[in-house]
Amino acid sequence: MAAPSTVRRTPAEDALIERFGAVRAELPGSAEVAGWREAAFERFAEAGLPHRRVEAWKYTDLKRLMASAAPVAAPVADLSGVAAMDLLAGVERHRLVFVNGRFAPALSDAGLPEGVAVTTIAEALGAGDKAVADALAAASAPIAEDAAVALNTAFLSDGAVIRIAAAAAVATPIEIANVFAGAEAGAATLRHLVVLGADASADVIETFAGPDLAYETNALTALDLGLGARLGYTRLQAEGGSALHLGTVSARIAASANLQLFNLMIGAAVARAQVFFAFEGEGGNLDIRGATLGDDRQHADVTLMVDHAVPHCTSTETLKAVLGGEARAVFQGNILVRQHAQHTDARMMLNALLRSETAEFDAKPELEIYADDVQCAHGATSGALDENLLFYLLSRGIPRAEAEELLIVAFLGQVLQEIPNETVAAAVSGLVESWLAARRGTK
Amino acid sequence: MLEIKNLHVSVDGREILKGIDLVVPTGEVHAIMGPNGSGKSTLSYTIAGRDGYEVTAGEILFKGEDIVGMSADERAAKGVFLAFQYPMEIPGVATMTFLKTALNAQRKARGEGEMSTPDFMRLVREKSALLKVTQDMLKRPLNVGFSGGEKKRNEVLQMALLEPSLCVLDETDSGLDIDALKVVSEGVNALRSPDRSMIVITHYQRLLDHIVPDVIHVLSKGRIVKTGGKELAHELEAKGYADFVEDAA
Repeated sequence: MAAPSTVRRTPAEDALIERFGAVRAELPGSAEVAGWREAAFERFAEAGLPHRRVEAWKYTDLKRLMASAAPVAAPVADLSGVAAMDLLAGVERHRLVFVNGRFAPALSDAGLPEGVAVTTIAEALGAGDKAVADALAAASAPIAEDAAVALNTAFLSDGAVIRIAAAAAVATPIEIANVFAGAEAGAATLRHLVVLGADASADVIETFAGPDLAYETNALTALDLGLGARLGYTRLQAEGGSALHLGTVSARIAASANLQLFNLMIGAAVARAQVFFAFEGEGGNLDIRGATLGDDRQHADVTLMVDHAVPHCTSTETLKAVLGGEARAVFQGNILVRQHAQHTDARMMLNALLRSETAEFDAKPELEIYADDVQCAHGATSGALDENLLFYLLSRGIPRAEAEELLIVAFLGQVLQEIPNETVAAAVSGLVESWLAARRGTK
Repeated sequence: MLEIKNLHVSVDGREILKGIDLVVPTGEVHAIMGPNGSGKSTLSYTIAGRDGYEVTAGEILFKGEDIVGMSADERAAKGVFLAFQYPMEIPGVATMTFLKTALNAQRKARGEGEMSTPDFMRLVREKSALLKVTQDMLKRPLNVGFSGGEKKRNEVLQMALLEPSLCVLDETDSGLDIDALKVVSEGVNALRSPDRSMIVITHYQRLLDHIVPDVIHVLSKGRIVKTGGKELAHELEAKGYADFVEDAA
């Protein structure tokens, strides 16, 4: 008789198990919360880190990519360095700043716009707030099987709960800044909830920044849009160059609601942004745009799961990647159109610009259609910069590096120009331009 | 201004120019005529410094300096300008942004300061009026949706703004109706100056009725087979290229 098979754990998996043992007693929440943390970690420990034979993580093999796991990040006493990591300096907004997975009131704006209420998760869980605990559980319940989500549930330490009252029109964007600081690598785990009442309208920007340390961010943001609500959600991932970023956005929108999502990926050594989206009422509209810029050996994965469960909804996904060095970008887009979701209009376009022979673009668009009266389309392209266009610019005296950047910004224009709020759009273009300028001649 | 000596150029390993000798003195306008496939566009791209146009022998002296080893943008900053036969369309780059980037890049390469936006706007307004380039065209993405005439007017506007010492006009008449040809020619003629030389490349004599050259060269099979005065154009129009091509053979 064969000996029982033993699953060999990676050093990162061992470190995660050790990490949970070390902090489980200190994590905020009631006994019930502790119960679902245990259950989530149990699920993770059983399956281990996702690898290439797990279809949803096929191109982002965390068993291989995650060499180790840092301990839970320590609080930072000196916050003076954090201000320099503001990605949106000069943009008018209300800031909620989280440093190393903890709310930093000293760096956050106190006054909130009318119709906006904010609680922090650590505080609410500490006070035994059952409504917040239930909302946190509901945010991850449908996607509990995902490894990044399970780890988020197990370790989440803080985050913002932003409630926007019905019919409120919030003009100034609200920023959730997720910053890593200090000299020691650590792991920060955050969960944010953004809830819009019926007919509310707002813009939320989430930013990720940190130093060049092998730190880890695991952030899950749940967006919940009421009837006819509108949300512009802009996600800017500019983590430090050695970081691991695991980001999840879980969104559900009611009838006639409108979500405009923009996702920028320019930081981290290994990054994944996964979006789970569900239409819950007719007439909903989802517009996802994204730009991934990669260089050196950066790995950036954008995975979208769009569930058209009801009729008369529209979704468009437009994603662009610019890759140099040995960078690798992954785009997985799954659009599910269920049997009753007639008159669905779903379009997905993935384009990559490869600046080196060694860069890699993996695109996996999937349409799964069970309804018969729908319009769906997808396409994917990848190629180099057009030499004819480059020569035209060079012949006018524009040096090659500048000419290439001009063409790259033009290539990204289709996604950058549609970012809600002009000052935010300009700031994001600035981030892209300085990212490109910093890599001049190194591609 | 320009002195080309025994220029041999290969593209993808195939020799296209087989020993060109050409002297264009300062202030003169020279036309280069020739049948399809004679090497006219290859000559213009080689002067402008396009990658893939390999100079296997000879030299190109611009103001006495050999420019063969220089990149296209370096040549442009030194005063070489190529007006394209088919100007490129670049979606996402506004025409105005492109003009300003080009002008300031050249100024920077020459060690001059960048031009301020108000000064630049004034300059563009002044230069665009003559060429009937509208404000609307300047706001649109570069050449996108421009008619053939608009694209060529935009080329000449760039020439007027950048003030090069040597202008190479590659088949500027192609795709133009007679009215557009007049506007473009007037624009080019306004830029004729004792300090500036031009090379006008064309298949037809028609353009040379509007931009009257000082000297005409006939290019055939990668060599200049005849050089003469402006009357040569009419001779070519009457007899065709056949005689010259045979002479060269």
